[in-house]
Amino acid sequence: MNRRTLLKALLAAATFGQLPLSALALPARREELRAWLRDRIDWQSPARLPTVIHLFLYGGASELAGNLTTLDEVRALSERPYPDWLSPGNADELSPNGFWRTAGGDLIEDMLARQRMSVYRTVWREREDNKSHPISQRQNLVGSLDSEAAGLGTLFGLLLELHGLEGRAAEELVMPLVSIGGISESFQFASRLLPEALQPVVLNARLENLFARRNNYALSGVRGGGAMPDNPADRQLEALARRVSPHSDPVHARLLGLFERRDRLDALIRERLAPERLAAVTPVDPDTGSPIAWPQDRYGFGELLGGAVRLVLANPDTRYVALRANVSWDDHSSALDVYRERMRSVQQAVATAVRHLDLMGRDDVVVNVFTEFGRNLSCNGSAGFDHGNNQVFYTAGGQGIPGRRLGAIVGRTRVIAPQPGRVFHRPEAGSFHCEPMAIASTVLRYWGVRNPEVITGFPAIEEQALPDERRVA
Amino acid sequence: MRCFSPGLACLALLFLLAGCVPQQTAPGTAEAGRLQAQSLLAPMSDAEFAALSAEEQYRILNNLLATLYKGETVESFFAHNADWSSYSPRDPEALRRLYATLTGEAGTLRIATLSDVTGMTFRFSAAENPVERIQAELYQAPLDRDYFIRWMAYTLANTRLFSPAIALRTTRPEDAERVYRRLLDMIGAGYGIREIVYAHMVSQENWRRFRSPEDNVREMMEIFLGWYRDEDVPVAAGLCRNWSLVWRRGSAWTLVVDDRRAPEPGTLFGRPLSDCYGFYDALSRHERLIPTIASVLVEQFFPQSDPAVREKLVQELVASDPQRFEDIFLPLLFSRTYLRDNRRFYWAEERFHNLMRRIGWRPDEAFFIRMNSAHSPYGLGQIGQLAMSYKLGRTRLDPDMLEFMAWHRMLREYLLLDRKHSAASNDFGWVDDLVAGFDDDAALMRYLFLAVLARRPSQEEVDTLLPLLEEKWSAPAKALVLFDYFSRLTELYVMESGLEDDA
Repeated sequence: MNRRTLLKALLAAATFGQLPLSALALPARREELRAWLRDRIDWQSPARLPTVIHLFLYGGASELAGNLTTLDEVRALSERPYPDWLSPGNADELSPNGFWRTAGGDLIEDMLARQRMSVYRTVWREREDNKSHPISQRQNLVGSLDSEAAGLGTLFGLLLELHGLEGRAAEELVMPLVSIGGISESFQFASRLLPEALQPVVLNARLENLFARRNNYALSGVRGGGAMPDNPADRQLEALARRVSPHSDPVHARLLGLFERRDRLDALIRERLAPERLAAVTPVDPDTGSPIAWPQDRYGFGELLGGAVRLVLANPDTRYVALRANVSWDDHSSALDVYRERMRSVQQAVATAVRHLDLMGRDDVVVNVFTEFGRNLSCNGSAGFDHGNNQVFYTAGGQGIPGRRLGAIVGRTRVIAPQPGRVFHRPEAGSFHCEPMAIASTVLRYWGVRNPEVITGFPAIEEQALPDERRVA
Repeated sequence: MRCFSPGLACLALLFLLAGCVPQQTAPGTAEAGRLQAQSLLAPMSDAEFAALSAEEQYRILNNLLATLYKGETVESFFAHNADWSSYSPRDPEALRRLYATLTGEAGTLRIATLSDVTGMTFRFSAAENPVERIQAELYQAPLDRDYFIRWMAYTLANTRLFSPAIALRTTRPEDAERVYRRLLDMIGAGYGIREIVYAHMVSQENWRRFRSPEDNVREMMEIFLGWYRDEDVPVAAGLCRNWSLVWRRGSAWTLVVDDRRAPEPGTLFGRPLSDCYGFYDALSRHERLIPTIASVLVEQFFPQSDPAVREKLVQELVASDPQRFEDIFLPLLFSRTYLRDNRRFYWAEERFHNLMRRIGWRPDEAFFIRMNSAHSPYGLGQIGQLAMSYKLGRTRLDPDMLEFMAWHRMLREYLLLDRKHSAASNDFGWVDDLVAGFDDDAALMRYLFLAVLARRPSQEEVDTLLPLLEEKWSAPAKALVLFDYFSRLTELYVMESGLEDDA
């Protein structure tokens, strides 16, 4: 074999690298993975399949909004003092159950009281506490300690391919998997592992049709600057370009797939996400007498989650939506005020999502909010918070899903200070705690996988079996 | 307590590295031939380049020029007859000549005013984004040794190694200028990789990106050494505990070293260290620095290659003992592996600058404002490839659907389908002169296929497209049909040589 052939052989391997076998022995190749899922997964059609929306807080969101139960101790140990107004004695800031009111804690209390949210305070990495952004992000979004495994959304696509959806074959489904704001890592390796019909669709928060081509008068013979009208010349060019472009090479094949998807999406969005259709799923809020208003601010969580909710209402085939906000939670400096504002924006968006879904009579849409890791509770020299471990997981909606439990605060924490300037929460002895990958296991179980630990390595959260561990009545 | 001031004055150079600068192996030489049999970094020889077809030579040269944000027209590259049925490269040693241009004598790195070079005047945004001016300098500067130094500085400032991350709350647009200028000045003055890394790490711009002792030391170890040991972070943070980022009215986020607060000495990388300068010094001298930097740059230029190929490239680069950044860039860019065997997506900026030169597309005065806009439908923001903006640089060269649609729109609507109203008008676009004098549709096709795609049309393309062109009323209208077709071909977005396997 000459060098040129050797290089070609190396380069002809999967475009994005040969995948190492998962530490959990999850196969990397499509047919092997499908066979593995068929043989190893105990799957049963769920009584009610929920729609799941994941809002991932990139950068590592602090627990503070969700857990101020140890504030006295944290304040005493912090390298840099907390402000006086954030103290246990200030009821304007500290809610009865230890949430930070002005950081959205009042909204959390309200959703808890109305049985529309549960809060898990002890999502804690016992294995591999790496505190690294890229590794932890990927692990939590993929749903496995093997950050090179197929993503959670990709696995859902494979399950759809194997089992269909409520009696319909996968190829009949329209946009079942969506990523808003950019492609989420939870769709890792979807391009290689899923058939074209199940490839995740990427939309912006306004659900705009960005797939139409602008008119070319020289080609169409039609004047005007809008979308290209249907015309034979356009179809001829498109068909020729498809035939001419290389199909066998993975780099070209990826782009060909995107072009083909463009055609399909242009038509789908015109049909499924037409303005009148979106308006039809925007209810009137009886409190205001006007269509429900989603919060608008510079962080965009309202726009993002609002887009996701309207999408799943307008298009019933959409069953998993991953959200990417262009907002970082990596608050290493001057953090408190901006974190508070940002987390309030998140909780306002979640509360509006819950309200919108309630008004539409939907009790089968789950909204999960989580992050890659929590943060150091000690305020550092730059008035920020460095990487930590324990995180707070917020889960809302979907109250009609069997096994679902809302209205609970789960997990008790204690403070540890292993070194000066490093102050962390960890679960109290005897308290419930789980790894972040348990979130993926729980979602897999909603999707009918009765042994999700075989995929993720961690058991699902047994929602109804857990004690409500509120410290404050 | 000390505050850091920008510029070279803030440097605390503790050492100068002596050592041999490894010989570069110029393409076309006997040495290159010997290495060719052995190494992924072996350059393409003159003989091999000359043995390629005319179209292959043009494509390979333009791929390299695209990497450098430049491009060469068919008129410049080929001697040709009137209808482009016959053409041949003017310069069989184009590759060697380009290498000599980039490694020749340096002149002055400073461009006094942007209009000095071409007389073109650009407008810049009121928000004073210096990236716009830096790009305008690159656009206007001729391809020479000075340009190559600028290009290296710009490329490095867009990687995770040196990105000024001007999208962050704690950074300022002028950080982009300072990071770029520091790289430019130090590379131009012949400083080595380790010195440049050290100078960057102790800078305020670096601390505005990674903002607390724990954050900064963790990221420096991860980014420059590939070191992910969480247990080392508190030790390193203790060494830097008297460094912090403080908000100061009038000077924004300021790096402050508090002499009243003692650092915590500790042992790291197997040696005792006493303060933050010591930490950065140890990091910049670490044996993992060069392999990690080499990995980042190999990833930049071979993102879709097999990991085994990337790994071998890194090993060969490390074995060559590179001292300066060009000791990494030059072997990579002129390697046979890059020129002949690589296949990757173009970066949007590469492709745009290359094609705009090849079809004579002329920018308007707002070109660089638009290019650096997060919101313009024709800017790099929608494609996720803004310059010097992201915390970890421009790292992802695999566009998602939205990003690809934005890129497709940029090339189709903004570049290929936009004609200037006239040659003298102030708008942007290509001019009708591009296709003036083409009365024969087949000749027009040959010319535009060569100019944009660096190949001849296939018979199928001729059979399908010629009838469409016959209906059109003018050469520019015919060009718009062909350009629309080109925009739908995957080859427009992929950098490759197009060469087939050896028999």
